[in-house]
Amino acid sequence: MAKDEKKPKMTRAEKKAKKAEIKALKKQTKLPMSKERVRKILMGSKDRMGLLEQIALYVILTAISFVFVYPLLKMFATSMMSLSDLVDSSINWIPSSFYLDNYKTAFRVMDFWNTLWKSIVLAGVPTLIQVAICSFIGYGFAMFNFRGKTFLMGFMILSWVLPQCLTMSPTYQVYNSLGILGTIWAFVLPAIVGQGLKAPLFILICWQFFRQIPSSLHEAAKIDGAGYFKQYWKIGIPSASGAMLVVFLFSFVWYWNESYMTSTYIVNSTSSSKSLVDWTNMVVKLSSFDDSFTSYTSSSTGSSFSATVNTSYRMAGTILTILPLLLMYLVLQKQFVESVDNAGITGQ
Amino acid sequence: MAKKEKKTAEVSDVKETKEAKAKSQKAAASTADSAKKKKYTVEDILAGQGQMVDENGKKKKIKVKMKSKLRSREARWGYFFTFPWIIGAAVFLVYPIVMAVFWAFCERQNLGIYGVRYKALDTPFENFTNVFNKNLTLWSDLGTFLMKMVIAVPLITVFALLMALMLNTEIKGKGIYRTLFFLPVVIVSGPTMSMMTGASTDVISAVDMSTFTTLATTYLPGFLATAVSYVFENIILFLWYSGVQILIFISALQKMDPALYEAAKIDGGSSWECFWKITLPTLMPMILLNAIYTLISLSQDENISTLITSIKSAMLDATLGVNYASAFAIMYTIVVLLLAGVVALLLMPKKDVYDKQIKKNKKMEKRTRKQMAKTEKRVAKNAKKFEAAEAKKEKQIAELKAKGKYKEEEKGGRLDG
Repeated sequence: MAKDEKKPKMTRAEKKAKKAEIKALKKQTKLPMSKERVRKILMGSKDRMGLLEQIALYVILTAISFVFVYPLLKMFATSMMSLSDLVDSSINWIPSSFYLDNYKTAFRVMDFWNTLWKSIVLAGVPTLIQVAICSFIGYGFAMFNFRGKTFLMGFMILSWVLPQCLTMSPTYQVYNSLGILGTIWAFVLPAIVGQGLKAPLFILICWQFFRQIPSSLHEAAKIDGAGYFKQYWKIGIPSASGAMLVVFLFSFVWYWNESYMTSTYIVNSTSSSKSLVDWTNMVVKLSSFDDSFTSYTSSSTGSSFSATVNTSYRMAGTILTILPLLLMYLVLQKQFVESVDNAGITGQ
Repeated sequence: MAKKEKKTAEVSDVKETKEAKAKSQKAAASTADSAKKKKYTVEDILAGQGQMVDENGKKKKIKVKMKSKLRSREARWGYFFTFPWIIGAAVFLVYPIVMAVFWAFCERQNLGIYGVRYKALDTPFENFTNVFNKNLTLWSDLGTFLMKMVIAVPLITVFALLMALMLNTEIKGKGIYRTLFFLPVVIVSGPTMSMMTGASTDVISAVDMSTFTTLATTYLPGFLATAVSYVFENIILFLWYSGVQILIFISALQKMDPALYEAAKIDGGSSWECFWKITLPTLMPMILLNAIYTLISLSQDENISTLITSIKSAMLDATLGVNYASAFAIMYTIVVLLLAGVVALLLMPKKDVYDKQIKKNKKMEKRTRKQMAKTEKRVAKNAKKFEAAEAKKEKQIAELKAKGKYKEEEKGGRLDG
């Protein structure tokens, strides 16, 4: 109490005076632009980055990101060029006119809407199955101890390392005997049993996620009388939604971009058991772009359209192929970039 | 699913009853000679029964009998959850691998209406030698593949690490750069890349790469020149394949303990030293992971490895056939696995010195304990021998006494002496 009495309350005027004093002090302490200070600003200290360092960093990063985007930009520029622009050596980047005919032609050559629909189904259905199955299997590996678990997981990782071409011809035979060559089942069936595209990686991601769930949650659920399946449904899945998003995004993208397996098992298969739908994929369609272009030009009435395939058409086709993925990336870029962080590969 | 569940449950029920029977038999047997191999229950141990320490002061291993019902149920559910994968692995993984190995040593015979038969070859390695003989470009393909791997894997890993370090600093607009760096991962695919290289959009025309390559070819020895020019010609390719690796490194860097750096700074460490002594050792597992990831993703990429395309075309080829393709694929697998092994050996984080010392000490302790036990045993043996000798002697004396030939004086004399 006594102390409080000693300290009188500051009046407004006094406060003002003090502020002015502080200002004056600050002015005094403000150093002149000494050599030392300039050096500190430019080169930085141990805790802070200097201006020069920052500028250098920005320059390097911008240059590298330019190199990253360069092919895309070039592709886009080339796809907008008419034949005369393409031949003209003075035109390097910007076409002389806003020319969309390449896209129109490529659109029809690739049978865009049809192919788009087919590739969405061909990538989407196995992906959805993969999300469900990988979380299921990952939960089994993460939550239960049973004999041979380490062996099974080791084998799983080994199967990730093995090249696909080793198992390709026998797998082709298996699909053939199952009668699923050339149908979407050639992708769906392996996905159902956890052998889809890069499934080991996805299972490991889910496994890592489920391991991080505090065991007290499960114990509480057990005490409340929840069975193991209910625990998976009510605790496992909700808390691993991040992992499942990662699996979904990457599985979709990789299935979309898969051409090696798609062209072997689904598109080029010479099996008698052809499905009703002639399955194909944007990427595979792109790889046979030249052939489909010539067949398209020969089938269409010669008077209205005749052209030979050139780089502009090809680039237009490529842009059309990656366009859905680019749009997806634009919308979900945050999820994509954070996915690796979320996947828990680097530990928590 | 529900049906399956029920079935598995039934099966395991049957198993359980069997197990229970076996257990009861065992228990009966164990009570008979429980002196040596006694199994302790938890209650016994809590009550202090059962010696936990043997004569040497070493902890005894005690087998604790648990109520294993819960554990077996858990195991059952583990199998239930991983059941799809086990089936899938059997059908789509183990069977194809076994068949591929089998076919590699076989010959395909077309029997017309009877189908196809695979007959073992008289010379078992014919398919493998065929790969060398029939494929004229094999050696050059393999050479370029190995060169690409040797160049690309370290380059991509180091580049990704550098990028991650740059993006881990406190600058504005990190997110934009990260988004740009990750963009190629989404759109990269075989045909897209081949289209790109076909239209040569992957070569920056503003920077004339040919000057670098001519410089390299004029001033460097042969194979180094090809390597350097390869790097400069495919620089964009390398960058495009490093998106995931950059993100992995960034996420690892962000999860590092800042206290370590603070401590180092207090001790006067520069950021250079911090990098070499803290960042790099902590990142070692991630570097290994990224190197292996790069190796695998590149080795399965059609554009990088021309070998896998030739394997595929051989499989669909009428004259070469499945057997040839299998042999080829097996050899390719071996090459990839060897490369992965080399990478793992080079980058495997070395064991901690402290841990090593502890292990060494433990080993020493064990050895000395063994020796002590041995000497004790020997001493006991010798003592027994000695006793036996004594007994024999006494017996002899008794015999002599009985015969009356034992000289009393002698004994007395000895006693006197």
